[in-house]
Parts: sequence; C-alpha cells; structure tokens
Amino acid sequence: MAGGAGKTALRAVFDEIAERLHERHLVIVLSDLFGDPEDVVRGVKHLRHRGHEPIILQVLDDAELTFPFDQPTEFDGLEGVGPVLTEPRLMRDRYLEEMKAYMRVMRRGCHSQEADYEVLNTSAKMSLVLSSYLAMRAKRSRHRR
Amino acid sequence: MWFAHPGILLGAVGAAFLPLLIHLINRRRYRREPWAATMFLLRAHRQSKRHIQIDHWLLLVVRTLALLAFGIAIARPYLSSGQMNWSMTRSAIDRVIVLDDSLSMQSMREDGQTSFEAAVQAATQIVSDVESGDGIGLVSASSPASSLVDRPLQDATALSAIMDERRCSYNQTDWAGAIRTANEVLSRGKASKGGRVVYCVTDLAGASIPVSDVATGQEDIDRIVIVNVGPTARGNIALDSLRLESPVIGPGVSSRVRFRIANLGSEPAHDIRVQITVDKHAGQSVAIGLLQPGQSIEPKTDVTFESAGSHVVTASITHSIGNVLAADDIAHLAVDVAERLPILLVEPDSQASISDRSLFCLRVALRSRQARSDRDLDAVRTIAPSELEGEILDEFRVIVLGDVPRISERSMARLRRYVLDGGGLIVAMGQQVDGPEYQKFLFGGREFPTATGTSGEPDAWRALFETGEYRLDRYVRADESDSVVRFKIPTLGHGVLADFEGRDDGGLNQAVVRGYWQLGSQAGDKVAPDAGELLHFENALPAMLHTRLGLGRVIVLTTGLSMSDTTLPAKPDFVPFALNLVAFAAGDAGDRLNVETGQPLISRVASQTDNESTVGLGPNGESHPVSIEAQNDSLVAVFRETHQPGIYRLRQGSREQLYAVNPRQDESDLRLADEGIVKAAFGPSVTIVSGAVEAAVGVHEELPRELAGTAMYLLVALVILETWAATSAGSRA
Repeated sequence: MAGGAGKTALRAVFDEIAERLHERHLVIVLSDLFGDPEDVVRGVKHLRHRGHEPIILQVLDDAELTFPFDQPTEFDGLEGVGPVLTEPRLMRDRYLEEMKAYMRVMRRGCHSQEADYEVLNTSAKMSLVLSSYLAMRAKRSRHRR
Repeated sequence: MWFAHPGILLGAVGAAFLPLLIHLINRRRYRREPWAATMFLLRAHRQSKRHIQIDHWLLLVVRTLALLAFGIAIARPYLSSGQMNWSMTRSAIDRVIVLDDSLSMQSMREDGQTSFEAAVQAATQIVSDVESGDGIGLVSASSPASSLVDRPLQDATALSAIMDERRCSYNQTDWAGAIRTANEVLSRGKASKGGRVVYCVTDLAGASIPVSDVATGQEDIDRIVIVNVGPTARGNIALDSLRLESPVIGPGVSSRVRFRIANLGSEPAHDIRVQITVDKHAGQSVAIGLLQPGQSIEPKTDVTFESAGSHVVTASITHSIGNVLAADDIAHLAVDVAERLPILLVEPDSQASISDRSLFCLRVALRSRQARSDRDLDAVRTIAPSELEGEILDEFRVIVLGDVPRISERSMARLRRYVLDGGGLIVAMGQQVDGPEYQKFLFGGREFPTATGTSGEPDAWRALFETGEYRLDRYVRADESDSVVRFKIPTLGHGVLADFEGRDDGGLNQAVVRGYWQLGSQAGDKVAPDAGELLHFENALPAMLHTRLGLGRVIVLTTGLSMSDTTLPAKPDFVPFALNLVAFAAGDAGDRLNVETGQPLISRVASQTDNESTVGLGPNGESHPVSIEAQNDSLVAVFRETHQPGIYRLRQGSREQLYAVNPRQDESDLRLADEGIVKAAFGPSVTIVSGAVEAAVGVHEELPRELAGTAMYLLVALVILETWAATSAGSRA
C-alpha cells in the first residue's frame, strides 16, 4: 500500500489508512520504511488508537542488510538524495550500526503499541517468509487465549 | 647532500608519484550502485569520512616516502665536507692512487681519449675531491713500479702537476710492485687502521695480474678501489714477435724471418696486411686475411741484406679493423751481417789422409758458402791443437775444435776469454777426446772452463750445465750395440734446425751415428732461450747443446763431424746444417741487438776512453748518456734509456750499430680481467667502479658520511609504518 518513486511520506500514509478504515482491520504494512522512525511509530499508534491491528513488515534488499561492497562505489540515491562516492570497506561497520540502531527503534516502538514488526530479506522467498510469520502469529494467538 | 647516481635519484622522484597516480586512477575507476538506504549511508559516510581521509593520505604519504627512500638509498647519498663539519667529526684518511701507466693504457677509448688520459682525469678528480687534512700518495704501476711521492701529501696542486707531466710507458703493469709500494707509502702516512685506501686507476687488462704476488704485501691497506678507465671495445691485433728463422749467412744471401700476429679481441679480424721493410726500404706486403678471436699465426717471409753491417727489419700492420692499441702494431729486428766470416778450425795432426781428418767434411761444406753468394764469405784457417796457444783468436768469428784430444789450461783460459768477448766456439767430440779432460773443460766445477779459476760464473752456462748436471760418461761405439743410432730432431723451431724439422729427404734423420759421447743428464728437453739441447740421438741422449757465454756462444756436439763418427757428412742436409751451425755460433748478436723496452743496450768497447766517443741515439734521434762498465772481465758500453720502442743507435767513432727495442708482449691482451681473479688478487672487498665520474664516488664510499645505510633504515621504517597503516585501516573496516 505504500511505495513508488520519490520520498515516502510514511506518517501521512498511516494517518490516511487510519481515517479511511471505519471498522476494525488487520493492517499489514510492507515497506522499506526509509524515513523518520518516529513517524512510523506514531502512525502505528494512530492505527492502534482506531482499533486496527497493524503488522509492520520492513522489506529490505540483502545488500542493504549486509553492505557487501569492497571497492570504491558511487551510491546513487533513489529518493532525491544526490550520489555519494565513498570507500565502502572503510565505512561498512558504521553503516551496519546505523541500520541496526534504526531497526532497534522500530522494533521497540512497534512492540510498545503491541504491533508486530519483522524484517523481510528480499533474497528469501516471500511466500515462505510470510507463511512462516503467519504460523508463528497463529500460535501466539492460541497461547493468549 | 650529494648523490653518486643523481640519475637514479631523479628516477626515484618520478617513481614516488606512483602511489598518488594509482590513487587518482582508482578514484576514476569506481562502480555505480543505485541505493535506497541513503539515510544510513549518509550518516555512516559523515561519521567515517575523516578517518577514511586520514587513512588514505597516511598510506599515500608513507608509500610515496618509501619509494623515495628506496631511490635515495640506491642513489648513494653522501655529505660534502661542509656538511660533515656540523654533522660529525672523523679521523684523517690516507689514499694512494696507483696510476697504471703501462703500455696497454695507450689503447684508444670510444670517446677519443686514450685509457691513460682518462686515468689521469679520474685520478685528478679523486685528488680534487678529497677532504682537506687527508693525504694522497701517487704510485706509477708500470714496471718497475715506483712511488712518485714519498708519503701521502695534502698538496692537490703538486699532485695534479705530477700527473699532468706523467707519460704512458711501454712497459708492462707491475701490480705486485705497485701494491707493495702503495703499502709502503701508506705505512708512512698519518692515517690509522681503517683509513688507508688504495685506488688503482687502470684498464684492468686481465693478462697482467699475477694473483699470488699481488695478494701479498697489503698489510697496511684497508681497502682497494679499482677505477676501470679502459675502453669498452677491447679488440686488439698485435704483432708480438719478429725473429730470424735461420741464421744470416751473409750479404746478398736471403734469410728467412718469421713474425707472429694475434687477434686478441672477441671478434674476427678481416683484411689484415703486414708490411715488411729492411732499413726503411719497403719490401713485401704480407696478406693475413682472416684471424679468428684468440687465433695467432706465424707467417714467414724472406729478406735479403744487400750489404754487410748493421740492419733493421721492420714488420708493421698496415690495415686492420677493431684494433684499439697501436703500440703493438709494429716490431723491429736488428741484424748484424758480416762481410766475411773468418773461421779457425783446430784438428789433431794425423798420419791419415786429408779426407780422414776430423774437420775435413766441415771444411768442404764451408767452401760451398761461396757458391751461395758472389762474394768470398769465409776465410777458413786450419791449425793443430799445439798452435792454439800462439794464435790470435780475436781475428776469428768462430773457432771449431774437431776431436781435439786435450786442451792446455792456457788454451782453456784463452778460449773462455774469446767467447766472453763475443766469439763463437764449436766443440765436436770424436773418439780421440780425453773424457776426463773434457769433463773438466766443459762441465767440471760448474764453470766454463774450470781451469781459469776466475770469478763470475756466466748465468746462461749455469742454466744449461749446472742445473742439467751433465756427466761425460764414456764414448760409445756403434758396434757395441745391435741397434743403429740415428739423430732425432726435437720440434723446437730453432733457427739452426728449423729447416730440417719434419723432413726425411735430406738425410739428417737418416744419418747413422758410429760413435758418440754418452752424456748423462737430468735436464731432459729443457731449452732456455739462451741455452739448451738442440739435437738428440734416437736413444734420447743429447747430441748437441748450446749456451750463451758473455757476448759469445758455445756449441757442443757429442759426436765428431768426420765420416768415422757419423754418416751425416755424406747426406744432403750436412752442408746447410754446417752453414747454419757456423752462422749460429758466429751469431748475429741477435740477443744483444734486440731487447725489450727498459732493458739495456750493450756494446763491447776496447777501453775506458771510448766513453767520450760513444754516443747513444734514441728512436727520435735524441742523444742519451752511455756508461762504460766492466762485465765478465770485459769493458762494455751500456745504454739504459730504452723506455720507448723503436730503432736505437750506438755510435763509436765512425761505426754505428743499430739496435731494436720492442715492447713486451704481455700488454697486448686487453681483455677485461675476470672478477674472480680481481677479487683473488686484491681481496674480496675490492670495489670496482667505472670511469672518472664514479672515481669520485669511490672517494666517499669508505667514509662514515655515506648515507645509503641511513636511507635503507628509513625505508625499512616506512615499510613497517605502511604495513601498520594498511592493517589498521583494514581492521577499522
């Protein structure tokens, strides 16, 4: 439901969904979620407030998760950010730390609203990942009851 | 700071830019990657940017410096004296320059200089480059090596002046003497152990380095630097020998000369021609054609001396390519040609017919000399042994003793005097000879003849008869043995017998010996230039011996010359054999007239007063002093200024004697000495540098201001730093 070219306005998308759906719904968000994590957490909070049950699935490319580059590379930003020429070998650790910190914020924010948050690696088969997630979720629901 | 190899340094400076160049090239060779997670990338990039830049520039600087340090190290930096003053103090250093001024240094280099000119230039540079306070000595290496200054001097101007006046000699290099002399000069200097250096400025021609002799006598030398100033191309065609192949019979009779020409280069030599002249009158031109590297040949040619007197034959190379040394392209041969050859034959009185007398056949053979010339060449006189004491021996050029049984002691003394003064003596021993008497006469007491009892044993006689320990055992008659005894000619190439070597048709080899004196010897086939065995019997016993004695010559035949001793007189070879024998005994005085550079010219004089009337003239007509000296109880005029090859003249009143002075042969081989030989002779730590520019480097090499080591330490430190920086950057990554 969210995506496309250009910078994603995550907060606006979440608010619009929350306002449009009048009954209680299961809302699954599939996105790379590249934006301010506070916007995402507020969006999740809004959805919960309206009685929906949001599931946040962050879809990331394997390269974005592992940053496997060795030689000098010019990264061409897809969402309006200019090219960045850098030495990936010397900044890999920093990048991965930033990525993990972001995920930590996301996970903590979602869990505080009792919303699920999972990271999906595009290199894995999406149907398998989803079915495994849904099975785990069903099992968790039975335990709650 | 100065550099020994500034060219290498320039190259190193260029190479130092390589890391920067590689960095710039790599910056242009990056991959492009579309990227969505720019928010993390930008944040990481912002935080890492400073570290990355530091790492990059640190590595770049370290790698650049490492290359620069490597270049500086091999460019061999050193500090000049001014820089040394503030950086360190050092003890005085004494140096000796051994200037090779031998004949081979006349070789022409590619730059148009002779090797000697380049040597003087290099030596001058060494002198001008040393520190004030250091001493320099100068040694001439041409034989005999000599010191040009007593002790190391600090006067560069005086040393340069000595070198400027120095001229290249025609002698060989005396390496052993030069190093010994350098050692002596250093021992008189101020420098202590560790500061005594010898520079040998030379063409490093390998043939002239006697390893074992040079290796000794280096006690006070700490280091030897060899500055090679020789030509790069070292091809040389040398005419290194010119001699008479057969004795000179007389004026108008052709004689054969033989010369040796050698290709001492590494390339074949084409179209070589040798011009032969007699007394400056051009004779034949001998075409040699092709000479392979290392090959030498000995062509022969006939020459005729039209008149009696002193003559000079000259052989000169007129055309050859790849011949860098001209000094050995010409050779001279001085020859004395006698108008008449007065011969005294001494044979016992005999009741037998004239034809049975001991020297009858020789007398007949000598008459045939006239048949070979239009002139009356000989004056042969025959006497009995009893008349010998009263005869005026000096009137004869040759005396032949033919089977004379006994010789009185007075005659022995007169014969010795006669030979010492230049006469030729032939002793033919037949069966009438009294063995013990002749043992005493010829070989007893290790002096010839023993009966005179005078001092001064002649060296040549000793060389033959003392070392040979000859014993006149007994007379052997042919009928004692079943086997027939014949002559056997050893292959010696000697002028007397060269015509007969390898030939059987003339009969010398076939002649039967009917009786001979058995001469026991341990000498074997030893033949020295002035003494030796010329002819053997088939049983290897000596048949003919010869030796120089004073200015004359003695020839001993262990058999007689009559038909009762041998059938040789009946053979065709007898006449030429007899003529050669007599001519050889009379001598062309060849040994005396032909000497090497540096050897004295000697001429017999009648009295001390001849000093005033004797004049010595060099090759360019310049006159030199002549001294009158006593040698072997005779007075001789001695001329010692024979340092230049060419034709010399000794004038005594109206008489003029020509002499030929030729350079030594061992300087013609210009091939570069093998490094192993150089190290064996001059020590394993010897340094070899090339040319004048590097000579100055040698001056600095031995000093503590040499900075190559420092640069190497810096290089090692930079490599360690680079490794650390690269590892550190990698670990951060």
